[in-house]
Amino acid sequence: MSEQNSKFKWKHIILIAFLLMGVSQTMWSQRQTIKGTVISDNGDVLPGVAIVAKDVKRVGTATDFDGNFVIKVPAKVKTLIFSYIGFKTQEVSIKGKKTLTVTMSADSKQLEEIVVIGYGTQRRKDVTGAIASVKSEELEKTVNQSIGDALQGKVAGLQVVSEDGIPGGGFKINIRGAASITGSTEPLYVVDGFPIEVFGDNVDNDTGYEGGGSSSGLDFMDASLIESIEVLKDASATAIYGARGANGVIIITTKKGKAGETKINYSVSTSLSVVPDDRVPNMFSTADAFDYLTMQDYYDPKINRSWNDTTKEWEYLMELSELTIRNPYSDDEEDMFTKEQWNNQLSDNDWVRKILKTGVITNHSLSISGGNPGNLYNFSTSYLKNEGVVVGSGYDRFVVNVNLNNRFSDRLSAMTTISPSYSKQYGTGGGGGSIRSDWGLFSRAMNTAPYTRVGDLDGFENEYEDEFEGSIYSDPVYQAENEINNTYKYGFRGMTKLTYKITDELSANVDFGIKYDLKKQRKFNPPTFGMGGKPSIMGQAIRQNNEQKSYTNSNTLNYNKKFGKHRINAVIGFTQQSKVSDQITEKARQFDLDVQDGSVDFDLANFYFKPKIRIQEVKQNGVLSRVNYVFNNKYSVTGTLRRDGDSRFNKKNRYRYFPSGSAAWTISEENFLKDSKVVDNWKLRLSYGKAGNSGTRPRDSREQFVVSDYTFGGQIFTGYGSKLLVDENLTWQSTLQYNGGMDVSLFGDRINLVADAYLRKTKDMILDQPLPPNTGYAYMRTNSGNLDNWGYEFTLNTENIKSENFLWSTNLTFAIDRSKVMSLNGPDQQFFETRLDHHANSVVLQVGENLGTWVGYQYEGVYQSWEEIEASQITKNIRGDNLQPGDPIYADMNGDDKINDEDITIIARTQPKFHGGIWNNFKINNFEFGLFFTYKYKFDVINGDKYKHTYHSRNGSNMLFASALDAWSPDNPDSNNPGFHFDTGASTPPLSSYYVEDGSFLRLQNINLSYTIPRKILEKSFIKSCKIAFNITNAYLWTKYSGSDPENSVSRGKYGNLAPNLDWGAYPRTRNWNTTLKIGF
Amino acid sequence: MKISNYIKIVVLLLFTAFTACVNLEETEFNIDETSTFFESEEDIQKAIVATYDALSKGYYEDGILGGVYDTATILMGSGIHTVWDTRAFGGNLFTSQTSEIEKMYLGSYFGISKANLVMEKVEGIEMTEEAKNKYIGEVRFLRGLFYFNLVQYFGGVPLTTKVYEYDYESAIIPRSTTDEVYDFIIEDFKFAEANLPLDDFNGSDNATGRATSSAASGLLAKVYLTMAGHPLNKGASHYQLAKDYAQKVIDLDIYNLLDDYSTIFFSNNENNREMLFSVQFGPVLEECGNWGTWQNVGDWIGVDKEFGAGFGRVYITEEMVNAYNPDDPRFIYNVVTTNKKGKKEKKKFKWKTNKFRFVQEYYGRNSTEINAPVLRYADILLTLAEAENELNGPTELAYNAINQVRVRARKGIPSKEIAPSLEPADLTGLDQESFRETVFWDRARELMMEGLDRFDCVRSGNYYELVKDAKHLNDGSYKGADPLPHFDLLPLPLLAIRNNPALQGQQNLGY
Repeated sequence: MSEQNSKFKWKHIILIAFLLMGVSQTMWSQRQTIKGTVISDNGDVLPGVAIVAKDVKRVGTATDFDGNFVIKVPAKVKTLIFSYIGFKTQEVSIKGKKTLTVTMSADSKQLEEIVVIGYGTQRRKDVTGAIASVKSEELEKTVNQSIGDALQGKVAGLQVVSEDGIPGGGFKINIRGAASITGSTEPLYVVDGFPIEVFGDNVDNDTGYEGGGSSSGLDFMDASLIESIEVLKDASATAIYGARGANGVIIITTKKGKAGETKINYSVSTSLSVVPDDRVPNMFSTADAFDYLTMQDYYDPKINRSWNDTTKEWEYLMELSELTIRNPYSDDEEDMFTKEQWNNQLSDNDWVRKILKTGVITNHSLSISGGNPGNLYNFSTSYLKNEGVVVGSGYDRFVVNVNLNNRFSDRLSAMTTISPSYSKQYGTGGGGGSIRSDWGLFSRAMNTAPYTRVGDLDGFENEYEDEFEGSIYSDPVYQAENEINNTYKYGFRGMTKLTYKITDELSANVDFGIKYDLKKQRKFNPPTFGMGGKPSIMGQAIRQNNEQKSYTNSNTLNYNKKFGKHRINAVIGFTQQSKVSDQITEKARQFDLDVQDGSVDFDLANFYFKPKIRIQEVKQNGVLSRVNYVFNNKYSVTGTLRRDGDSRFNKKNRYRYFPSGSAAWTISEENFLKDSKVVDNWKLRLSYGKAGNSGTRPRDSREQFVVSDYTFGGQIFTGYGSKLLVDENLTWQSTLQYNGGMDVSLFGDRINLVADAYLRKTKDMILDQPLPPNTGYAYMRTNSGNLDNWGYEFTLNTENIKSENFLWSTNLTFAIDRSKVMSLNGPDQQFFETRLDHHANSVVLQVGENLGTWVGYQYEGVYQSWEEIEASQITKNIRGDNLQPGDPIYADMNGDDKINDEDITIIARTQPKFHGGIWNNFKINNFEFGLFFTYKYKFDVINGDKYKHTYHSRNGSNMLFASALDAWSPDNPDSNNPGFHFDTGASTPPLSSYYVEDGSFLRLQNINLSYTIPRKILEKSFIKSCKIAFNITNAYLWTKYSGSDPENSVSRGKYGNLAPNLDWGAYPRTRNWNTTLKIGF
Repeated sequence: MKISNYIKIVVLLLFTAFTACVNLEETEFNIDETSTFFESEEDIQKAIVATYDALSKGYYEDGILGGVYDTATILMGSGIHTVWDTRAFGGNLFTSQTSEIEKMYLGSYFGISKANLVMEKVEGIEMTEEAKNKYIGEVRFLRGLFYFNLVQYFGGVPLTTKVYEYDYESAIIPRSTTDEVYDFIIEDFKFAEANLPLDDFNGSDNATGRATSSAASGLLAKVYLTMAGHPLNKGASHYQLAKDYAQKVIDLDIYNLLDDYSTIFFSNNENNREMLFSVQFGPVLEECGNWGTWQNVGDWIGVDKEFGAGFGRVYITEEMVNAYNPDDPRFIYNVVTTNKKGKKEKKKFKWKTNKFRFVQEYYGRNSTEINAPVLRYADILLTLAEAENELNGPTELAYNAINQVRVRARKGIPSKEIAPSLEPADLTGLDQESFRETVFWDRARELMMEGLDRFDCVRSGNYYELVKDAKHLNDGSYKGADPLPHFDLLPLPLLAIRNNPALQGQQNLGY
């Protein structure tokens, strides 16, 4: 449009206006004045809402900062139209009204929606990549302890994996399935422009203690602080993050101030949490233990049976009822108990239930926001206190998030975020911060004999060794109350972004950010009890301080131009980040009995270990560019190129380019659909690009010599040796990702469908590749092999019934994710250890198989009779003994009539066939009701608790499930559980499919009922809005899985990817009853 | 200012910032890299120390395969259980996935790789030929010892003789034959014998506890003795070599039997004139081992604290108890009965070992500075007696050697107030067969719990016969599985087979 033309037009308009004024003088008296306020459905006043009269041209106004408006309209006007970006346009009748209060509801699906993308924002319309957004309203509809909770089931293709239910526990997010093994599988988290990366792995191999808390590093985030979360899934969207984008990117934007009067929002929520009783394991009672021990003796050929060759039958030397068991509390070895004595004289404790209690979770959050358009502020704070369901465990967290938006001049503005945080996690409920899950208190309670007397302490006067020799634990309640296991985290995040508008189209941005985290772990096992099965070491204290500092800087130029039908959006810039982690671990042993907390009274120990110090540093930089071009709102293309450098790799492998390209066609803008009443929006997207994953430890590509001392004649000599074999050529693993997708909106946005299909090809996986042990090394971190992931994702949002007072909407996410190892360096099958007991080779990485595949023997029941054994070609059990009835039948995979290592086969595949969430929301007047389900279908879970608590060890090193009494015996020949003599060829049984179960589930994750008090009632009070909500989380679980929870996955670090879905000694997941009150002032 | 000028300024600003920041060098922290490490003789010395460390941090550390399991077969009952995989040995329940077996295998090769690295790197560093040979001799001694243990536990194993970089393919090598492995061990020990100092008693130059020429000679005697028996059955020629090397050590007149049996193992007197080589554990927590701990009965099952504070998990079989004359001072010293207040001992055999004692306040039961003996003079004498008997029957030489050990035993144990005794009496008038039998049991009596018993059983060719009828297996108290004929070799660890395709299908028979 030329300038002359526009001037010409203005002249006309002014002229016409004058004419009209003259002509219609008489009509002024017929005008009416309407006053009112516009608020959002969550009670915020809305400034700047455009108000126009319907069917009458050029009559309009906008609301002021307080959301108030005054409009004079001709008398014939019956209806006003209210419109505001991000909200649904609304028509309001003014018939017979002088004042109006208009409530506008947010419209997340609106096409003008703005999406936060890397280094900028974009209109949803122009987006060419696969990006999902979750807004604060959706986050707030469920009760969330963490960001993981908040995202669970809400984004198609996003899986949240948490180890167990421990308060403040970590979670992991996999977008489109795990595409890495040793390298991180976590997406890159970007909070207000600051990339938050899990830095190295913090596992201390010597103490077994690791990072703890949130593995994502996001535990300082509370859902109430968040404005929106953007999930960038395909390469087109993530390539701008280059070397770190391969696992997807999650961009979190915290709440910003909005112009208007100061608003204060306060919310308090209280939950009561309990462990659903059907999820609590039933262990032996004291009576069960007697029955078990006598039955074991009764059926033991060495004690009570002899084989009669003539009758071909077992002969029993004593009757079952005659058998006695020694009094576990007697020093006299002849002091035998009959069943009656045993049951009457010994106590009977259900330790598991004794360490459980009702947990209380309270969460306060307060936000104060407002300002004028030049200076906006938002001050948010949140305090969470979670008293866990296991005695002595819990989590406290305090977070402050301050956002300031300052406009210094027309051109220069700044946005600043300051966020300090503090948290404390305490107690030893689950894995307890220890790699060895069986050291967690919950496992210990499961392993403690029911007749252990309250107050019994291991290692001292009452210490005893009884038939269940593994159960040399002290009273678990005493342990829970006296053991110290605290993790404190102090965090600070500060970020400022300066924007200078060079022209209306071109702006320069400079970001600076720092992040500081101090994690302090304090552990103390008092000298009064031993540590899980190990003889007492007279108390042990561990102190670990981990300090992480990182700073980031990015400098970009953004260009935004619209001319005619063309729109260009471009960004170019560079970014750099540096991170240093400094960790010191101190360990001391042997304390006096009266020391209460050895981690505080560290100096009172008699022995110290040399402190372990580990410093790690990473530097990264990148040059980035992106151009997005849109023609006529119909066709858009995006091209991205980034070059990244990372100090973790040697110089020759340090830099790499990550390009991507994508295109979208908005079919609904074509003439043939433009006026369609059915199709509001229909867009096709295609993208292709490359991204990287450098998730490895600093210096993995450089030889590290470690001190390796030796003593000669009592004198210590310094030695140096390399611990690991190092691949100097180590570099990024890179992924090529193809994505095809479609966005459809139908019937006035009442049906919205987003569908995507992707193929992600990962090359040069970073892998701890197993080596022939004769090299002297077990593995080497290297780039080995290729992996493909592919899948389909669907998000369907519908408004099923919509009337003035009633809305029923449904959100459905559905995803299919598959992975397949395409090639490996070295053998096509590579085996890895797991943490389930000491099974060294229980998971496999196999060409043609997916990730997370467990191996073992295929369990096919037990030999129920001698005839069955005679009919079988197999005569020996695994260790070479003659088979007898009650022995497990393992499949002879190679048909050589022997059962040995060569018959080990795949027994569990852990990837679900599909997974997702279903959310039904009902809104009736001021009531809202929601049912939120999550589901996963067909995936295997390794029931580690079953493994630990069902096998019949002759050494009796484990307490058993009550169900273990249903073992095969000559008198219970139909049982499919191994017999009492279960003699497996190992001190623990071999892993077999006996311990693998289908974990398919449908979980009613959240029931929500809320009531918003009508504004009318509050009008006279100082309260502006008030909402009361009741929630039940984890309300019900439909599953056939018999263990604690099918979503437990206690493996950590690289084991998390290689050996997932291990449910073992997990802190129980709770059902929570929650009440929330939200008040706005 | 014009817009174009703003652009210029901003672009300039960005550019200068950019060029200033591209440096990716880490500034906070720097550590040695390979290229800068192996530069001097001193670096070689440190790498040798690390090779020794592989010995102490490997399977010798906790002593399960380093010693306890050795004796499990005939000496030990259902003993070491409850602690993870260790119970697999007491109960004959081990498999190819038992972690102690993996640890033994991997730990040995870890040490071998250290030795190979030193041998490779020493070539590039300027030093005297003598020094170089001494360094090489030291690591070849250790490498020989690692392979000697491997071959006795597993039979022929892959022979790793060079440093692996990241050439995965070249590490895929099959098992060498048992013969080849022994030949390799002999070469290593012979080189060590020729290039190491005779003993480790001369202070600073060659610190106490290091490998010596004498120890290499002694180990050669043991190697030949082992080769002479099952499974290689080399017979007379190798008995002769064993005899020669044992005689060589005796003739050196450096080593002798201590007067007081107990002081051989005391943690404060470990590097004595009877000890030719032992794995050293140190006085600080990081350098401690578990070796002493398993074997020490400790106070927690009711024995006086004076005995130390071990796990007390090792039970001794009735056969072993019966092998001692009750008046033998070594029996009184080595074996204790655990009868204090009964302590719920359901076991019919209640004898435990208490041979290795430590005098320091305990660091916690699992850490002591007790050394793990590898070779001592009494073993040399018994080796000579055995080899001579096999060659020439019970000659004067044979009697003299074995009776020296018996005489010392009779002297009593003054430090523990165990009086002199008439037992064990001097041997006389035996035929070859009964002398053989006596030497076998004398080795057990003298060397019990020193990690040699299992090897002696295997060497005799009667391993299964010896272990299968142990009384404890059938007395109702035993909670394990019966031993099987193929147990004279351990299974190769599954991970070794899986990760080295050249070993596929080469598992030891029976597993």
